[in-house]
Amino acid sequence: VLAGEAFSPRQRDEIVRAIQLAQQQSGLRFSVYVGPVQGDPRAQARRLHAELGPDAPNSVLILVDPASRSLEIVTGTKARRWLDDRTAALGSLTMTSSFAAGDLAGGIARGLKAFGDHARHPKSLHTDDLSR
Amino acid sequence: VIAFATVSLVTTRIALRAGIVFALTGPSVLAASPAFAVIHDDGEQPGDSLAPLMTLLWFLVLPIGLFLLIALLVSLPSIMGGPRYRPGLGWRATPEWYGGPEPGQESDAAGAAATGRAGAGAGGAADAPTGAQGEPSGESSDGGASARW
Repeated sequence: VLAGEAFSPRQRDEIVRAIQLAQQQSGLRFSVYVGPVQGDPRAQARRLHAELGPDAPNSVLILVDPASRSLEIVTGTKARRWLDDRTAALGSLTMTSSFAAGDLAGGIARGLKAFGDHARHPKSLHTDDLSR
Repeated sequence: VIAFATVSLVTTRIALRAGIVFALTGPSVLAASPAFAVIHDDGEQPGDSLAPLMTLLWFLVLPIGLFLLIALLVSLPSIMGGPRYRPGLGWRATPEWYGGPEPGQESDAAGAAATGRAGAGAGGAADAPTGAQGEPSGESSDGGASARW
């Protein structure tokens, strides 16, 4: 039913700020994809995660498909140490409860906040690739 | 059938209650209304009677106008907010990717290999889904969660 822009500038700003905050807190890279999925959502999410390139092991990809109402969270090999599957499931619950109420941007921002809080860890000099 | 029976039961009960209320209060109000017009209290000074047009204005146009104004004020924020996502009504907006790969970084063979997926690396994005499907979920080195709403 919706055509054109997915979010208003304000919502976009909210998501971008949530990503930056989560990255600052946790040292992980967060990437949010909002769009339709062809076929298996999990496979698509993994493909997008792999597209993040050298950052992928330290990245968390969040795929939101409002059309098929599916949410996928893929954590890289290193990111998984700080953001385990149970935390990911907890965050996904936070997000889907907002999505079900019709609040896409707010749900994404809330999930990112939860991930940033949970994945907070002391910086180690040589194993953390990400300097930001 | 049971649902219809309960609904009709409830509606008949409501109708019964409304009927009793009107039966008790209606006749007394109707009987008293001419007296309101004729009998005046001490010191009461009746003004001019209202012209038909003014009656319409006060009792029809003004309440409807107020109703519309308040309804507009209530729905103004959602009108200003633009289109809103509603679950189950579909989604045709253009895909957006925040924090996506920077240009020139995607299909980086080294990056894909670092994730521990040999199949996804060389062929780039095209055959990555098959590689991802091929690996059993338990063996996979990357984690995460799936959810639906």
